[in-house]
Amino acid sequence: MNGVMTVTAFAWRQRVRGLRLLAPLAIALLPSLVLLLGLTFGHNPDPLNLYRRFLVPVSLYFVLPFVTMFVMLPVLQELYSKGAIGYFFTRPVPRWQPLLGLFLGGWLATIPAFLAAVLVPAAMCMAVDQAADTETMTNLTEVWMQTVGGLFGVLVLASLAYGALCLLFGVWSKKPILWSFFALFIWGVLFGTLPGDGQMWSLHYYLFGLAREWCGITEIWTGMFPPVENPPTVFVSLMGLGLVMTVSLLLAAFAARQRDIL
Amino acid sequence: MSAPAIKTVGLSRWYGEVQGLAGLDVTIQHGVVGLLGPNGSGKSTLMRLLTGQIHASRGYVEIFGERMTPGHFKSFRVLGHAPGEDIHFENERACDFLLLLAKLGGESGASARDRVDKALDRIGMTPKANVRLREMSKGMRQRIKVAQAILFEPPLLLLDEPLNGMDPPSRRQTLDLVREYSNTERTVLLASHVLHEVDAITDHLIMLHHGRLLAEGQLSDIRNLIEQKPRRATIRGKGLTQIAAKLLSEDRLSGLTMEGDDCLHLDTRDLTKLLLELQQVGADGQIETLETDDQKLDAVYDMLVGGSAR
Repeated sequence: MNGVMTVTAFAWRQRVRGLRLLAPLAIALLPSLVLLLGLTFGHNPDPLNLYRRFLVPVSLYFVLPFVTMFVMLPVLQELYSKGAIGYFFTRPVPRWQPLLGLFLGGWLATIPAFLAAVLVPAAMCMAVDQAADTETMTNLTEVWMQTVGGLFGVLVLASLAYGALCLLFGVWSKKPILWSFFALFIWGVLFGTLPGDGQMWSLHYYLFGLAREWCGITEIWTGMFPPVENPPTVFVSLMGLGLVMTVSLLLAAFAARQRDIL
Repeated sequence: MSAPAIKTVGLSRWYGEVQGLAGLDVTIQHGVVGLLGPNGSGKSTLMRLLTGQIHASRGYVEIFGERMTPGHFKSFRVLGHAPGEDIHFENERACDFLLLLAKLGGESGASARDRVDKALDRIGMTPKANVRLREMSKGMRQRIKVAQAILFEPPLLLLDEPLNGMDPPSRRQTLDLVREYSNTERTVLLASHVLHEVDAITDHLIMLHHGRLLAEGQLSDIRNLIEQKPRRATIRGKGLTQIAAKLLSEDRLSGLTMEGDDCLHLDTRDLTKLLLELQQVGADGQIETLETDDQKLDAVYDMLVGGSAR
């Protein structure tokens, strides 16, 4: 596994060095801008409610798929398009090892963006969410910690599954952006929030299982893409995400043996 | 190891309608073997097939007796490969890039660093170990590519156009390295489209053209092979049509091409006799210049491919 860790470090360096984090950070902070407008111009806004009803869903609908795509897709695409992946695939290790390293490195590189996505708006909200007495303030802080930590947990876990999908498309297809957009946004966000039993076939359905339990959201501010009415339990959600990640990684390893390096 | 370093049997690869390699049968034991061919002749396709980077449309490859297919990784313990394309790990320092590949190859910690140091030393790049690849000249990056191929000192080394972009001292150093390798019972397959590079280092050649095996063997054998092929003499001067008519009447030529009024290309299977004849018929000063192709490698290659390849 020494090789996996080395490639992980390489992929992480590649994605966070220089200005490469700028695009994911910009995506991650876009909802904060809207939140700032809401806090500034809203009529008696309740910061915690705003965070739960606006920022949590938007993070799942928008920040998660696009940050994951922006970070994960270039990890493989740059190597394949330049033929440089051949340096990894002509070593005495099975191809899944460098692939796993690239996946883990890319995934780790999403974390700074997700941290920014949850902490910056939380800091803004908490700055105006002051309680009258110390006890209420302590309770409020606990709620805030749980909400922010919960959202960060959902994003980080979900990006494992979404990132694995991006990796699969990066290996399997020469048009991974198109496939990833379809899988993460169309199939994930849109299909996953349509009413009916079909929801459970979308990955997003399982995110709301976690979001409801960990962040306490039951409704959203915009009225668009309402959260599922009967979300799965945390256990089922984790199983669902884990299954998608595992299957995607296995298929990516298989695809890596099939695809020519040209 | 008794099995040949490289064996290809009916090896073919098509890119859609385009033929990359067609039914290649070669066996390579040890020593340096030059893989010659112009751009598009199939050299890089062969290299990719030998390293399992692409699938064969037909046929197969064996590396020391083991079938090489995409995903087969065990053969990379005995095989080092420097691809023809640029490195593209621009942001990495040379030592980090090599360390990454050494660790991916199974080494860890100090032993990986030791391998990196040795490889850098062998290609004379130790002073540049901490330079990022994007800050290096193409020649330097070429040497780093060679360094990563020899990290584990494999018994088989595949070098695809390794001298491209190198300055003369680097070329000499790289060629010395290849010679040194071949002196230790190892095998080096050196692909190039620059003929004198290969000529300088080995007499054993594989020549490809349009994906097909054009010739294989010692340079001297290849020369013998073409002995029966027409040689060409080119004369310039005046009144060449009379000379052409005389030579044709004496059945000395296998082909004749006029280039304007003052240039004549004469193809013959017996160049010596033709030259004697030209001395006689041109005695009155009609022939101003006489040129013949030579038997250097360039000429051999041109002759084999009909002069259209380069």
